[in-house]
Amino acid sequence: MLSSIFGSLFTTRFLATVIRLSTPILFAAVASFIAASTGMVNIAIESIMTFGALAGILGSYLTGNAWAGLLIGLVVGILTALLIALFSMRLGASPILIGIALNTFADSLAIFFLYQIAGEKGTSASLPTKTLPVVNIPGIQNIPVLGQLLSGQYVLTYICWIVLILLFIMIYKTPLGMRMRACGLNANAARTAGINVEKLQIFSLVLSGMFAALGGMYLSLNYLRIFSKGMVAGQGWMGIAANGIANGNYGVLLLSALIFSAFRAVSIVFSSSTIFPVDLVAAIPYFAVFCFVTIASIIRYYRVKAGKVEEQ
Amino acid sequence: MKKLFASVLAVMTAASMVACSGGSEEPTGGDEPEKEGFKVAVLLPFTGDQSYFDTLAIAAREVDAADNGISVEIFECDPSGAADESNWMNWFDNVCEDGAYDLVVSGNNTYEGFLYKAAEKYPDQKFYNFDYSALPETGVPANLYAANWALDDLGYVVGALSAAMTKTGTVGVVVGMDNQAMNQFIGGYVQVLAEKGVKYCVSYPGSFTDTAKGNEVTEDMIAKGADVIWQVAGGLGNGVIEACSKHDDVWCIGVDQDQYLQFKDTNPDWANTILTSALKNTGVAFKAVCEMLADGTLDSKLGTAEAWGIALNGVGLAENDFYLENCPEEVRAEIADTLAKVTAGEVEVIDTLEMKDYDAEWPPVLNANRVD
Repeated sequence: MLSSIFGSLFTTRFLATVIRLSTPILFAAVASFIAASTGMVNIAIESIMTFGALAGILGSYLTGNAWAGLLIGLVVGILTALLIALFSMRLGASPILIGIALNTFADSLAIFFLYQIAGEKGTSASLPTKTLPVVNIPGIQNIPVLGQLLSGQYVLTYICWIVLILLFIMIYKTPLGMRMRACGLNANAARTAGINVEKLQIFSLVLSGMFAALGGMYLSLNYLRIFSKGMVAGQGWMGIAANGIANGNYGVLLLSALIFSAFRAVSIVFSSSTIFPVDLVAAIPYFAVFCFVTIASIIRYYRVKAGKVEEQ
Repeated sequence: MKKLFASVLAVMTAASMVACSGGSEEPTGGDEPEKEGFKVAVLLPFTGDQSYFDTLAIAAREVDAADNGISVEIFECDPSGAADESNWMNWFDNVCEDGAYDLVVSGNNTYEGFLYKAAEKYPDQKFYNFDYSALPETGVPANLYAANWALDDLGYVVGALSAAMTKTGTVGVVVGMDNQAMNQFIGGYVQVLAEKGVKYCVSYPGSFTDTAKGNEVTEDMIAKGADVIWQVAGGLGNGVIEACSKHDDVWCIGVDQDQYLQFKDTNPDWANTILTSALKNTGVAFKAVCEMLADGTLDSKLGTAEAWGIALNGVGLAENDFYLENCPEEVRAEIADTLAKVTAGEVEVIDTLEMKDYDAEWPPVLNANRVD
């Protein structure tokens, strides 16, 4: 019995589940990462995902086109990010407090708009909505194992992979990325060197809002084809935790996000087993986050102590 | 910039005041002249979650709109579901204090504790608990009528239908949370599957909102061979329906209200995978209670608790056109037979709600057919 459960963890289907579950967490992770790269703090990712998910669905309903819905969702994500920039950079509020405020009212505000347009408070089921497709790549889809993993994914999953690559190139291979990282390391030094720090910080927040909105829209426009109350369900926080572990290291960021997704998939496989208490199983992904953040902190502590990295 | 900020703040303050007052002024009924006849207050935590709260709210609006001398007001007391005692007692004080309502309606296992406190505090107020699971140890309060749903019987019927419809010999159920109230759904379900030798998966994702999890849990079950999957998981159930809709040979069974009708016009993909729904007709009972209130017979029911079963149309299957079209006649005959048997009490259906210690009293023989 036990072996059959653990056996099901090493199958192609399990890996495909991890890929499907990883997309929103990866988007959330890069959203948190890009904001942090210029020294900004965006903890409102959960709420931007909710807004993006809803705006995407409502946009798709109102325009009759899923891609137009995607654009509208992106705009809403950018606007929310600009709101954070306005309050934290111009009006001097703490970005943490703005994040808490946004996260607190996101669900209710989303329901408010949903009710105005759909007349329902739980889901967007009453709206006939166009959604984004699943992409089958001819050629690749016939390869035994790889085909199942690389083909037949949701279109936003592919967009996520492209974003991950482009982001890597931008941050590590272009002068723009170097300047952004300079802002994050020491804003004053960057300013002395003639870099427009505020402009780059706003730019990073805008990107952060876009990525978070894409994560939300993956859930509503692509994966589940509906907006459902509370559907983001902590995935934004997992992305933030992944960034906390990465501490500026892009590879660690992606790895942590994938590990969290894998643990989410594990909790799904175990949720129908009789062996473990189900409440414990539901807590697996969050417990994993806790453990990995703790381990990362301990490693960082000893590296600082050994003088390998500077204290931040 | 400052001016803009100030005006934004002003608008937001004004908006929040409107939002607050909207809630607290409702109980007084505004400037409307006092309506003759009976007044009923329905206190729900929230509506719009597609659960039996919605079924009840729809019935409440229908009773209110009908020309029967009964007016109903619905109050959404706890949109976040925080189950905060001071908030709930405040709502009960609002509606009970001046005796403006002839009947106050509330319920559900998370919130019923506040209802019992209110019943004790306001002994002259009549109350109706539309879904009880744990009555106070002192018994049903003398001013309260409590109803619950023969979910054990309902689960038995759904299990019988699943067993009759499966081609693979494996079926599944997704239950939002592992608690006694939710497990009442699956006691009878598992029992009938054990009788018929059908394998089954049970999954507890531990959430009612995490739609993505509902989707993946269902994909997992389908991979294990399940081809008739019952969802008992509120918003998370949307993910179950989505997963079933992607597989041509998999049926989904909805819950609480007729989910086929819910999605028929706007989301045919989903509707066409929902064979039927396990109904919890809170609306039927609510209408009956309102009638009893109007003709005075409710008083004799106060102080009692009653299970609304198949006989009273408290629970049942949604027999819509889609079900009639897709469920073979012999299966329907078999289900009708099962319904009759359960109603007549010929089958002893396991009721997990009556078990004191669910884990200890659960008959292990029933786990024999469970697929991990």
